[in-house]
Amino acid sequence: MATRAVAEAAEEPRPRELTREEGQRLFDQRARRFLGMSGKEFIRRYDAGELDPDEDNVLRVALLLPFGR
Amino acid sequence: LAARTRHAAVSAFVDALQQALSCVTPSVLYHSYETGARQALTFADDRVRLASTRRPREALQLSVIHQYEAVRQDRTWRISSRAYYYRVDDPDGGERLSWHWHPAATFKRPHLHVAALDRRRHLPTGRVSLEAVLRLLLTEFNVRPRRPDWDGVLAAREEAFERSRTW
Repeated sequence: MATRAVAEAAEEPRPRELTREEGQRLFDQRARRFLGMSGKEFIRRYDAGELDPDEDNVLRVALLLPFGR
Repeated sequence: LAARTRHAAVSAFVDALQQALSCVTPSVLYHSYETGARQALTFADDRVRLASTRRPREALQLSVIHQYEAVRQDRTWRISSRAYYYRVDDPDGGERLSWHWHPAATFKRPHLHVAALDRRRHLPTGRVSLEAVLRLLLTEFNVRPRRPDWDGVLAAREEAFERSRTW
């Protein structure tokens, strides 16, 4: 019984905190995938008010800004 | 969920969401570096495919983004949510349902987009928990549970959500 419990626990996914660099890479990948621009360009244009925050692809990248900054 | 340190509060929050998601997927949640400011979490690959109780080609896909912040309250820390984006896609990737709350956009209150109606419409909702979305998928959208105790896991998390929400 104990062995099974340990095995089941080992299968449970564990969340992972990304380093700042890993987070910026993830953010950059999402910006490129959804908007065809780098993460840095997204931040510059978003902060300048050039991107529509109501557009779904902008939104799904903007919500990831804590990874990118 | 109150904790003695900021780190403990963040860990408890992220662990709880990961546990709820483990009812439908083994995918790992990534969360942003703890800076003391707003944080976010999401899946490594944006969206994950959910096993179907019917045919494999009917597998829906789920995207999750959640923004949160650790806030000090008296002598303890708790997590305050700042925005969410829960999206369910058809097997081919087309959007089916999306629950949003993102106060930075024009429509600031929690709402639902239903692609089959008119995706541009913002259908008002109360604040929706991720656990409620997962329960809906498991009970009404033929998503196959990944663990036998999913009902209890989600019930416990939903109860905690109701207890800790401030609005």
